[in-house]
Amino acid sequence: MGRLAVAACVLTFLTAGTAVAGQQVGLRIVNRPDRAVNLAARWTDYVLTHTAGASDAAVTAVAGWSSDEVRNLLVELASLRLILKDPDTKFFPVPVDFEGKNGPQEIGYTRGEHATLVSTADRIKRQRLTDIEFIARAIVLHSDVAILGNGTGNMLRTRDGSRMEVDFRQADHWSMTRRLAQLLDRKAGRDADLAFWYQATITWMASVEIWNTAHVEAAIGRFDEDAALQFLAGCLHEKLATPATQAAIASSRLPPGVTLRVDAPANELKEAAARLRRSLALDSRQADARIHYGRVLTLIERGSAAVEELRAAATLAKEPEQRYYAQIFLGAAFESVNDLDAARTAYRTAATLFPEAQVPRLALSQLSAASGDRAGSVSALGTLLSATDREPQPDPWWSYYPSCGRHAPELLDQARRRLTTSHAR
Amino acid sequence: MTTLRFTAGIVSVLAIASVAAQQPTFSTRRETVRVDALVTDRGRPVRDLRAGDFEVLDSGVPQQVEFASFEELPLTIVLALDVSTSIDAERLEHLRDGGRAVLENLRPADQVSLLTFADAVLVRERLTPVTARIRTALDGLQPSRQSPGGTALVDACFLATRVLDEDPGRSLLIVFTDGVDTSSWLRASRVLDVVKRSNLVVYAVSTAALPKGSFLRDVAETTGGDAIQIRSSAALRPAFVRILDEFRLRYLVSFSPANVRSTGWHPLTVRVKDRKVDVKARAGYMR
Repeated sequence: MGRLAVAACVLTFLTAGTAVAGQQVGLRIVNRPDRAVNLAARWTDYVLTHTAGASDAAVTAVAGWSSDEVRNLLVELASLRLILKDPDTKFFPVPVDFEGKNGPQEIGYTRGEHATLVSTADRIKRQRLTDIEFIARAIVLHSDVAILGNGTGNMLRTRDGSRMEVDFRQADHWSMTRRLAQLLDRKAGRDADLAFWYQATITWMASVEIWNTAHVEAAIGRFDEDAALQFLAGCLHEKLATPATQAAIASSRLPPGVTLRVDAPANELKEAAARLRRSLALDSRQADARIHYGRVLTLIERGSAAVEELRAAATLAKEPEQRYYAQIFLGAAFESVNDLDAARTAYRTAATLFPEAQVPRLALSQLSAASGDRAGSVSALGTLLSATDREPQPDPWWSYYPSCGRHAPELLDQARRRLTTSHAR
Repeated sequence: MTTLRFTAGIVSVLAIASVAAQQPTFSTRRETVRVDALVTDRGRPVRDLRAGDFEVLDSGVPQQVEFASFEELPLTIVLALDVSTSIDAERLEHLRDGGRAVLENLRPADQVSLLTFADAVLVRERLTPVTARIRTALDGLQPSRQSPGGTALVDACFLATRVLDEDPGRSLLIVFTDGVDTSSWLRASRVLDVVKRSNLVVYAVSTAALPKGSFLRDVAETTGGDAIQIRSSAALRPAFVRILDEFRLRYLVSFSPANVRSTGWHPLTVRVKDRKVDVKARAGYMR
């Protein structure tokens, strides 16, 4: 799902003369919006008191803040980090991301604001947290706001399967989490935790069918050698290539200035194949990646290669749904190379795994119909031709795309634990 | 199969059939291609044509038209309705009302089947004359509760061909959707091939756009039906009634293919000799 750009006016110029003095000569001094420091103090308390994974008061409060308010927290976070390192510091440069057109700037906090920042930093210290550990906890809070507090930012959402419209929401907390993650560079020693957090959050997004290209690109950009992230990126591009996604985008009028990072289906499938191939090169034992790769190979008309992948996937698959996917996609791959007997065998195997599933019966019926076998075509449908007023058992095919996210709850729990655990110092 | 096999004698039995129980029987002696053709002159149906007035080209080769009837033959209809999660209470009532309009306009010899689709494709009622049962099935329609809630439009059209394939009558599929296909397994091109082998005429009604190249427009144009975009589901009743009216005004034209290849796609051209009229008929048939 494409994200909408959110503009933020961050800083206003200092006009009063009561600021804590800047120490760097020549830097333009700017002040902060009225509520910024107090909001940062409250935010710090919420980060420190939030129970990971709970929809608590911290989540409720932060979910109500505007995009600008959330983004501005990063300015005060930079100042807090400086105070944590040196409580006597009086020099607070504006973080590079927030500089205006005129280059480097210095923040001129009022004495009251400065005192508030110092006492806020003290509260972090009293919990025996480093700035790195505090940021890791902040990532957990904003992830929980996104997940539990509907803080996913403005999204384009399909309506009626044919149009997309902007679903306006409060701040984009996923964007905030990525900015916080950027602050934890390699020297912070939390790369493994962050990679795992990206995996957990993208998995959660897949489970609820939120397709956030920016989040996935950020993950891959930083952790290119992560097999799980490459797999999830492959799933994203596979989804973006679907006729439904493409049709919805084609028939939508986006607000001015908004663009979606979605390419033509052939290119999306090519990208999906590349990501899934890389994922398997990094870890060849992933049944899910092999299933998705095999399916994408069929879609890009590499049927023979798809058959090989899906045969391998069928032997790796352990869960019933995985085995079912391997068989129905194997059926489609065999169809694409015109091996119709093998296709029938694969579909029949799938039917034994989920006897009420519709896909194998429709596929077998269509194969018979295509060969002019009318009786066989009707017989393959079985009870599908019988009148019924009850909803059938779900066919795993219906949840193929969100199935990439089926382990989201466990992964999120683990990611939260990892990020809120202090590393030995 | 696109082609029906029957003799000229059987055709006359078919033409006077008046009750559903009188199913015609077909011999296999000769292959006959059946074409439902709507002939209009400035939008008004032309009713006075005979077999000799029609000109049919099969793959560009002129054919001997054996039969052309404007008789009101019994209809066999599948009503395939989208009940995906986007169908809210108001749309659902419009759907039911549109369905009731179809039932109200059927005759005792006609048969109708009700099929619904979301992720799942379900036959709610098999082919039957209008009975209390099908009215009850229509009144009892509910939106799908399946999650994540897709729309298997292509799969539904395929299943409709199988329902209609059980009956050799004059077949009409009326399909309504408010969106695009999001969850079919079957590929649109393959289902289109199956449709080309049938005698089915498809009328598609949608509140979403039906652009050229879309499955519904392709399937409607290939079968000589129509793809109708309506502004809202409130327009379903008049749309369905119009479809039925139009379908009843069609000629049934038949010929035995001669001097054409025995397999593959056969493009058809249907014209009326010496008259400036519009003819809407299937684009071809598959053997």
